[in-house]
Amino acid sequence: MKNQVDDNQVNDMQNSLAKSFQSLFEKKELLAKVIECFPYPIQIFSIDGTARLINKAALEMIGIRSVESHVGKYNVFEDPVVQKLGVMDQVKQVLKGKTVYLTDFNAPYQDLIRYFNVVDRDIQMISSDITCFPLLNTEGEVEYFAALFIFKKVYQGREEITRAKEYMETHWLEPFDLSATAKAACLSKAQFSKLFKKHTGITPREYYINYKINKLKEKLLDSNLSVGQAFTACNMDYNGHSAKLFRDKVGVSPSEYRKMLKQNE
Amino acid sequence: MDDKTKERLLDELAEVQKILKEETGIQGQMIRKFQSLIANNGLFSQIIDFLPYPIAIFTPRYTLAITNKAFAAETKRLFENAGKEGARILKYKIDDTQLAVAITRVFAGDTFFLKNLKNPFSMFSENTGQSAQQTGRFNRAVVFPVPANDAEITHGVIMFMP
Repeated sequence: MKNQVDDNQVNDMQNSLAKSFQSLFEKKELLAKVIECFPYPIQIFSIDGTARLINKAALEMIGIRSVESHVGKYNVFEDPVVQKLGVMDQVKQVLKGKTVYLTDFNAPYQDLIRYFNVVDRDIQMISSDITCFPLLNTEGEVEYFAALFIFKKVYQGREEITRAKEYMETHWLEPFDLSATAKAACLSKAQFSKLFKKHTGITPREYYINYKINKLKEKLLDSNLSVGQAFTACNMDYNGHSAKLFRDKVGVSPSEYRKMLKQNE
Repeated sequence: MDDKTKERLLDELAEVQKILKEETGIQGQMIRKFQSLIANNGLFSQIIDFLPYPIAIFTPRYTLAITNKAFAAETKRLFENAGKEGARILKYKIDDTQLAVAITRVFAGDTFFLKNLKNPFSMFSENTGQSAQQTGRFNRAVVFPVPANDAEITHGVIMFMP
């Protein structure tokens, strides 16, 4: 009986304690959740520049591996990416109580991997507008500062490659044009060629040729067309370099290829 | 005491132990949550309050639970009678389709990134007296849900951006 009474007392105490805490923390908990659910990365820093708090979006969108690997360790004033982009002095203005707006902050993802061991992902660059603002104490002094990263674009390798492939696949009847293809991928020729090779293992020109040869193979299936007409339909010259290219890629001449197809029918 | 009874008692004991373990786990979670809130005491409200972009946190009944300084400043700038009315979103005042959809669908758990908004602040006031000069300062917004622990969406948040 005594145990029952004790249990009830403990339960009452727990409930009362929980209610007090609940009411005390309700607003703070809601605000904590708002920060946590914020669809843009938010970071809070101590005035020495050390990360004090980060939200879920910072982990997911920037690729920070864990809260523990970042909070208390990362220091924005020692960030080589910020230094490299020449905006450190601007960022430090926040310590004077000013709100700092950094537009088009383009961070190369390879640098983030190199310096901060972020998750290795298929990303080339993160472009964001960053707003740094001071958090003041009751005396009006800067106690912390926060940074809100409004992501504008994440340049992913694959996305640029897809755009380039789409371009080549819709312009395969035209002569190969590296400049136009790189432009379609929104990259410089050098950047694009390097990225394309990295992701596909072949050069853009090889991709274009392979695509064109496959189209020619399809045309050769059409027995209403002569071999020469199949070449013409693909804007290729049967008597020139294209026939040799076909042999190099497929291993047999266009006529032999057609014969093989007929035999297989 | 026969073997069956002993076995039954042992099972019951194991069950009690399991319940105690679960309760301790829940208590531990609560303590950790409170510790985190205490450790970051004030920081969360400071972030919202000092953010230079207007923010409004609203309930499924469209009453405004929390707004920040930038929100107050913007509504004051736009409407002479700001603060005199009940703090709520007036859905019928939203003439922008994308904003109307976002304000509703946010409680289904969706996040919206909106651009080219026209007079979005009009939904907070009966007053339509915005001058042409005053419109369009914040014409982008993000609307996102805030779920409770049981995943029910208890609040929606709108942050306006220039």
